[in-house]
Amino acid sequence: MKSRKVDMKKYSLILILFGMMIVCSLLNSSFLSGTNLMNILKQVSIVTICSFAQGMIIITGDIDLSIGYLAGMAGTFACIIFVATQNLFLAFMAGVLIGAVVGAVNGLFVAYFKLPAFIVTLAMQTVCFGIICRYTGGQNVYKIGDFKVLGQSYIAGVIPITVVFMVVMFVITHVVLKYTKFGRYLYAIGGNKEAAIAAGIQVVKVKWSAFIISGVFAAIAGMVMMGRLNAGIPSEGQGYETDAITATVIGGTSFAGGAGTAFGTFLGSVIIGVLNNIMNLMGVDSYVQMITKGFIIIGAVLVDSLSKQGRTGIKIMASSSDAKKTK
Amino acid sequence: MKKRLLSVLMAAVMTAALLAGCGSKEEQQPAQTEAPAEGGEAEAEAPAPEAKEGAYKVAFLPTDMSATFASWLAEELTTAFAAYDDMELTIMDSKNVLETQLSNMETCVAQGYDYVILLPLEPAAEDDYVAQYIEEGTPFMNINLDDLGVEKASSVIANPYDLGTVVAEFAKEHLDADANVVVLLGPSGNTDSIERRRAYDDVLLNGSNITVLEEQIGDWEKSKGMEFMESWMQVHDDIDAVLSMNDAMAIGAIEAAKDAGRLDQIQFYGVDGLADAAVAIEQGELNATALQDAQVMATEAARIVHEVLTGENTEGYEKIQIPVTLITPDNVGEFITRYTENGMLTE
Amino acid sequence: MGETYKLEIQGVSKSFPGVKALDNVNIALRPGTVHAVMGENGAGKSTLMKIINGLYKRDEGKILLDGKEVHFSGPEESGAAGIAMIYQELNFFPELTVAENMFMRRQPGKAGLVSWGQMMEDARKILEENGLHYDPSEKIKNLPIASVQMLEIIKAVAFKAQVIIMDEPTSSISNKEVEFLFETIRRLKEQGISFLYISHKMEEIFRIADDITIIRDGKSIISGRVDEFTEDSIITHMVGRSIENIYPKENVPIGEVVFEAKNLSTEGMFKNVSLEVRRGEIVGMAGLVGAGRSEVCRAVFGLDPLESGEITLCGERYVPKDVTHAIKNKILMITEDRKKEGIIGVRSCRENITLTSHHIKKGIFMNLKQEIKDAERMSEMLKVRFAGIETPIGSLSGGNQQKVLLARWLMLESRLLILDEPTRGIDVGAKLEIYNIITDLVKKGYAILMISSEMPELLGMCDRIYVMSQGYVSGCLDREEFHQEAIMQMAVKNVAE
Repeated sequence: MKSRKVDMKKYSLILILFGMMIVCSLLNSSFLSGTNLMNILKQVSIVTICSFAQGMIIITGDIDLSIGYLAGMAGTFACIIFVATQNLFLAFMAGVLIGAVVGAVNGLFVAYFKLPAFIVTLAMQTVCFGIICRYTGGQNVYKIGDFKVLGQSYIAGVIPITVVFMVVMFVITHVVLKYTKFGRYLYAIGGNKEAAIAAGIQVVKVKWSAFIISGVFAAIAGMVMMGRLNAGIPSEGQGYETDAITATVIGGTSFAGGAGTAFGTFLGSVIIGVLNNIMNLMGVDSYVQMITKGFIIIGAVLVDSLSKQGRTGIKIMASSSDAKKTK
Repeated sequence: MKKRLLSVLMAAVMTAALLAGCGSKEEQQPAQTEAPAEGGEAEAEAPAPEAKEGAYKVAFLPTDMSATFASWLAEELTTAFAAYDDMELTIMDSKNVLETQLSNMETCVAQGYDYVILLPLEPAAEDDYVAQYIEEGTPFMNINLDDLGVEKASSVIANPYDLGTVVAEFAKEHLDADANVVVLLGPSGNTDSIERRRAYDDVLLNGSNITVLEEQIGDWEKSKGMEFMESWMQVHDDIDAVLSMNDAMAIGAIEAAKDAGRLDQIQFYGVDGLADAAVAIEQGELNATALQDAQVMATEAARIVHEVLTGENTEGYEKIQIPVTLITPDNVGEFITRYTENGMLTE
Repeated sequence: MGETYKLEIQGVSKSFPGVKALDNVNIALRPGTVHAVMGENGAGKSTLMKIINGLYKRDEGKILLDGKEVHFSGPEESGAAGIAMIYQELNFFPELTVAENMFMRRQPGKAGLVSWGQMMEDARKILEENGLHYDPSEKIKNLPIASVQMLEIIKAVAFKAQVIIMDEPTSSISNKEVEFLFETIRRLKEQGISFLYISHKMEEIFRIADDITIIRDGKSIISGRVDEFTEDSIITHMVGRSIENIYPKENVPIGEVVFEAKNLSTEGMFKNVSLEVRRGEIVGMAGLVGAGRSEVCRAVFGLDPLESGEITLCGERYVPKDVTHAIKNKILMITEDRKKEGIIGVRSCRENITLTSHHIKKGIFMNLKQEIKDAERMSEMLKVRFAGIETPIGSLSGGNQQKVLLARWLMLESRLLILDEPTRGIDVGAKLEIYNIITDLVKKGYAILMISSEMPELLGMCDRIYVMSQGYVSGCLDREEFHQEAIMQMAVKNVAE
């Protein structure tokens, strides 16, 4: 008999998620139904898109707190433009442009002028919210008509568009992080900025671009959100930046920078979604929900962190013949 | 948390952003009475310029200008005060932060405003200050919520309990005796939510056979209403009605029901009666809501302020209650017209 | 056996998941002596130190202090028992004063209040007794590294340490400072204080140590008096094989001038520095720490500003702009501080190797298959020892990290390769391998400019040596003129006029 240690680092999150899903399906029979699982994906999709943006920034060792408010602003502006022009493509591109501009402003101050991202993006929260409220006079935008296809329609009749957006953004993030030079530079900068400079990486340019991408992602999340809500509501984006931070960190992105994946972020977000969903299905009291959610998040991060330190680990006993085969 | 983040750094950046902001639609600017048209909210936060020589200076302290009702009320007050030559109105936003509202009160008194209209964030925390300022000679009015515990403050209030009552009565007529309902609440500890919920208990739920299947805090947010409803519909096949303590959450639940194809099996009740609700009722989605009519409140407030300032009101204060208005499919047309006229609805 | 030891380590073993870090280690430290612990990086020395001061728990074996078995739960307990550690990376608070650092957690005073006057007075007294002339109210960040190190030692002694464990104490200080350190050690020895001294530097060991224990692969291989060893025998024991000549210098035909710099100057850094490097040549840069050697090279590489001067590269004019520009012009540099400016610790060796080679290629995407091939080829060529190319570089020993960094730059074409302290903090075996790599490179026609503070390394490897002093080039010697004393004289020459 030989024992072999399975690499827990890669799979701990998947195991946590599966564990949770098994427990949930025992707790409530509705949990595993197709529509419910689709509901969970639908509910997490917007915050997940924000998390991809946040994840990229956290990988470089910074943070983007403007995401939620930017989503609210860009989404509402896109609604307004759609109502005025009835041109969905134009409205969508305008939203993307707004996201890019706000991201570029963040990047200007953080990457170029080297101000702390925490303060700059915190300040941009109020700038974004101020601009949109100034424009709408504090009123929400109703009767957005077909704009709602961005959040309420279905592809092939079964897959919600929000989920499609999430998957597309996931693929983009995954490809950027894993297969592009730009993605590699993000990790390098987050891992060791000085070393990245000494290796010839143009840190200012890369960081700046990262903030622009983050802004675009946030704007897309905002437009999907407004589509789902069937209204332009500037205040609805608030708090998404912190939810996004939670999801990315649960997903194994290091606050110190230099580590994290799109898949991990996705899992982190789904873990929170499953948690919210099961408690709502079970009719858990609001206050108890808050407490439970807090502790379970700490628990998930703890299990993940312990598995990375190698303190836990599943020892799989394999017969010697198996061991030979694996060799 | 969100609100705190919002408040940090607000002053400087906000002003800059507003000035840099886009060319806003003219009718949406709660500008000062007869103030030059190019003035905007940014200026409205500063002490009033001498637009009217020797006019009474009145300040309005709303809760949060980005909240739909508060900004509507501000607009209606601006319109109401414009009708008086001898009063001018300044608006000072509190951005939903109690601290800011308290210091705004202080500023008004210090700068010698003749009258202060307060849309209080936390009445219980503010009444002592108001009592003291009145003692020191600045008259105050409490608008919108339940009355402050201050005897000599004027008040124009639409009782949140009454708002709940009219909707609950309407729901009682339209629901089966053994109906199953779900309830969406406002933020924990919010007076409006608590009072409206109490009215539902008294009128509809206590002593009846109606079952409350689920009850959750939705923080007034549309997305939360939507999310809860999506989950509840997974567990319950027999939801007959959604009782929401505001319209946004009710409309969120409507979106969820629409998506699940169960819209016509369920009745939806909200409170607030603003543009979004009017549209939803017109489209036959929302069943009823109740309105605290900002226009009536503003007109009444302006009248009381003027009477007090000119000495016509010898007591120095007046307390009135604005009747609440139930909006149903029967009378929604008139509100659609009204909201379109005042710019809250386009087309 | 009748001899009493100050500190005795008997049969200590320690395992981590997958590795046996220490395997039956025995060391006996006699009172009032310096006991050198030698071994390649990764041999288990730092684990041993951590076991002695209680940061790690031993699996087996005993530690005896003055003949009594001890179990420490952490540095605080071991410190209280009289064992002090001077780490390679010094622990101090840069923004606090000398006195505050000395009395950290031991501040004189009552009821949580610090008695500043007394603290300053005590600090001054301790400094004077040890012949140090620092102002106790000076901030630590304003002192040179060597002085801070000295302060740590003196602090340890002042607070009644009987055993001082030093990890590579000379790795970041100049020769002059080394002298002072050794003087201090000798003086303290006479007071009966014992030292465990970890170092790679052979010459130091023979000058300062009384006893030697050699550790290899977690086992203590041999212990004995210093005069029982020779340089060669130590190396043989450390690497487990004998090494004929540590510097594999070969005669390589020297080609045309590749790099020529004239009158490079940057205010406050260096002045009128002129250099040339030919194809196939290893050119050394000697000098004291702070003489401006790194600064010149960093300016050429585009990392630091260059204010004036002319550079010709293969006959063309070259003006440094930034690192990307330097790389495009095939000027490459391995920077001095591996941790700070070299490795990206949390990322894999693969990513560290290919970082810059992606950079010079066109297009948005990377070729991952090619990347894996390249990384494997390079690490095989440079004999990097690791579990695989996916191992995070931060978990490798210094020597292997350096090899990975070499791999990074050897992926690119080079006209001039600058190596800034390429073997700092690396054990002998890895050093030798790096010398071999350097030799191979010049055979392939590389032109190499090498900064080093280890004189024997320069003497052994270079074809020519420039010596810098106070920002000026104070001399240049050809291989036949090489002489340690001549270089030393140039290095301390006062050329400011």
